[in-house]
Amino acid sequence: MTSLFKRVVDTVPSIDYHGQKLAEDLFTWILSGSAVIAFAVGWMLQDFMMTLYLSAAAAAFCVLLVVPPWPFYRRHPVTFLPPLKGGDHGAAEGLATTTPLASSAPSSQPAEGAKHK
Amino acid sequence: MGLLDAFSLGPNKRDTVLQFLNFAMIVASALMIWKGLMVYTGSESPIVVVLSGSMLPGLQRGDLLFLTNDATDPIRVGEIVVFKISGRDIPIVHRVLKVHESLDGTVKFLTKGDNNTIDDRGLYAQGQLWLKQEDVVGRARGFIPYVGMLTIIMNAYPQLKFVLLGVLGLVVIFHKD
Amino acid sequence: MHSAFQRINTLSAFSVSVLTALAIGCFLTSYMYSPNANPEVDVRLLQLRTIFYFDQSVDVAALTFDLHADFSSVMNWSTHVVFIYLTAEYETQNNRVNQVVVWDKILQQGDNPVLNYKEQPGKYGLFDDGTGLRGNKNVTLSLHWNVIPLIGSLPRFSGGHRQVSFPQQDSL
Repeated sequence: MTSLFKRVVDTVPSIDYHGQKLAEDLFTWILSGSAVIAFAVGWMLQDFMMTLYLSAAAAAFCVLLVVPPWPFYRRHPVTFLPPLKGGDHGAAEGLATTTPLASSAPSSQPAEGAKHK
Repeated sequence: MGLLDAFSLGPNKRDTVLQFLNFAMIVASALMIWKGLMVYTGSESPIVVVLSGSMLPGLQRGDLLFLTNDATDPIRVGEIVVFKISGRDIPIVHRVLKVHESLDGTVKFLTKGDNNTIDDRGLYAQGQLWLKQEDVVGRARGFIPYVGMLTIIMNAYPQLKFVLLGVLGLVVIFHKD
Repeated sequence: MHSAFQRINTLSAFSVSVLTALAIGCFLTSYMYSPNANPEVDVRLLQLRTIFYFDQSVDVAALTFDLHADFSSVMNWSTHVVFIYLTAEYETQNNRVNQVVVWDKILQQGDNPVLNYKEQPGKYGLFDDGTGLRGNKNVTLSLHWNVIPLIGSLPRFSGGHRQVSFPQQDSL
């Protein structure tokens, strides 16, 4: 039972694993770095409100940069192995198609793992 | 995970009990920390929220104050004290204006809010001219601004308390989503 | 982190941590600034009377004072407000400690941190708890100040102690 908010936000497409790491690294470094700069600037000017404004601006920038699923977060999509026919064990025979197989009996061994580039 | 699964002590009895235990642990820890603070600081309410604007511009409504109440350290002028007038529940946060300590050690003092023009004698109980050590809940040693705003909002809109508890309860129950 | 909701969540939590770190950092830098305002106080007694107040006879004194103090170092970026007050402290036969605030001022960010008062009258009458002011040889006027920071502890400091002797007779 997810909240309405979560459901609305989750209608946007998700991002791949490389993208997730990139997003997390980006906001960690941007927020930490801007906090240090904001602290130094505020100290120079003897004005803590300036520190808060600069940090808030950086945070707002991060929201725009990290939250929407920009294309550069989806450059390493997960490629799944094609579904196996029932009875076969395993090795992909190079059937690299993305259309579903005509004789699509539900596989007893669903494809496990994915090829990571 | 369906609604019914959540409420029945379903196939994972241990999971449900564990969840309940986790919740109970959180409540117990919070209580221990609070009581521990009470003992350490000597104050019956070591953390209070500023409720009125009588100490503006220094302290605003919604500021959180940390109190200590060391009876061996006598009250002196200029300290910010939180006191209760006998017969009334609401703690008041004001500053000590006058102190007179007699030869036998009894202290009596008068308070005034920074933002008020007159002292607090009008606030004290009928016939009471001075405050005593017993009226003091604690003396402010440190503070955090704004953090207590939630308490003030919940006091103004008591229904919010139940809404918040309800949401928290739901989150805990349906956490294994 | 695969959903936008989770990213918002993690981002908010991290922002709060950063904000807390900034606030604590700001408070810690306050120890680098001298809390000393170097006050100089001078006092003149205008009037000393005995009146009946509530339930007893009390001595009341009216004073004027000169004050020079520099709060530039006290008023730094981590300070919110400084509450400055002038007290009269003395000992009497009945009470071993008496402290009465005769004047106070709130200094805020943006105010002129240098205080220069000449012949400033007291704000609050110096009422004793009894008649201990007459002939009191040792009444000390001191300037105190309570620093209220943006966040953190609320320390008090004092300086500019000036000892005055009160006469036995009414003075007017």
